Amino acid sequence: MYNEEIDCTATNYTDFVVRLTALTLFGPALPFAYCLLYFNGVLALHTNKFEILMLSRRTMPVKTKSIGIWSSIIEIVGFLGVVVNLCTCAHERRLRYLYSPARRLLSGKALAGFSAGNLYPEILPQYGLL
Amino acid sequence: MRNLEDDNLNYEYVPLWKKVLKVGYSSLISIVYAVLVIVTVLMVFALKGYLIQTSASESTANGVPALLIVVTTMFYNYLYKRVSKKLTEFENHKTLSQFESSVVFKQYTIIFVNTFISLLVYAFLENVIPQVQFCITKTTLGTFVSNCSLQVSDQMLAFSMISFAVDLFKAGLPYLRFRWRQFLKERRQRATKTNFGLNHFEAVDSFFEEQRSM
Repeated sequence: MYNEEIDCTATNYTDFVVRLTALTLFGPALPFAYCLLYFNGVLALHTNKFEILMLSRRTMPVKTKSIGIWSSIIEIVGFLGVVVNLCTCAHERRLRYLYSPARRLLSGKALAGFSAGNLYPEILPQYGLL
Repeated sequence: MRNLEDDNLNYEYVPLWKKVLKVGYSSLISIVYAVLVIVTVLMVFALKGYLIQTSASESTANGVPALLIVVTTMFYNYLYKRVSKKLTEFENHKTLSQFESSVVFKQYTIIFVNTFISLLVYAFLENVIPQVQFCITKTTLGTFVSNCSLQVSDQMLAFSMISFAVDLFKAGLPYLRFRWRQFLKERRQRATKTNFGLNHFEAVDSFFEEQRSM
């Protein structure tokens, strides 16, 4: 019968990979998160060390070639990170362009009859357009 | 495939069609579960919009949906950990590594959807369903603010702080228990030393005293 405590060490990586995913996908939204999660990782490392040395039964040594399925998952997360960050940049850039003074200068008719205040009232003041 | 029991080189663990059916069935259940998670999160967002439009207090309008999202995330993660093990046992994998890979992939997929769907909604869905107004919040002054970038950074901050708090709790509780046991042990040893005149054999061997205390 399958016993998680003895057999499955692979699920222990879940927390780490979830944090890695958060940083890869949405880290640029809060740069301080990199710092916070770094210290979080150091703390988790010492927690696990203390738990293995002091509080649990001696772990069974198992020889492995790799981290298994986690390697593929991390690759997928890396790819998704590129896609999500590019989409975020494009999204922000589109908003910036839509309300930029340069656009108004380049095409005078672009904003004719366009009531921007109805669409993004929270963004316009940031660019001095409202 | 080689049979581990009788070295039969042409041994097939389960028929291929049966294996495909089993994996397909469990994948279907996982997909339905993921859709259920997404629908729940969207419903919480809709509830948030409704509360903001109707409720007077700012704390209710912002706090109740946040609490609901945390509770549903924890509940769905806990439930799926059990469900995924049952589903993978149903798939009947031949080796432990295959079993682990299947469990890990299932669990991670659902945790990913569960944890990051709200962030993805904040980041990209604001223009897709404009009626729901995902990013709108109510300020203390009673005015409405809709800033998705701010929402994403707030969510990231909450995620980081919760991870830090959970790790601190995980580290702190066993450490305190360990230190408490050590303190009790030292106190017992000190008491034994003070009672040296009564039980002087313990200076040589404390085995009997330890067994009695257990």
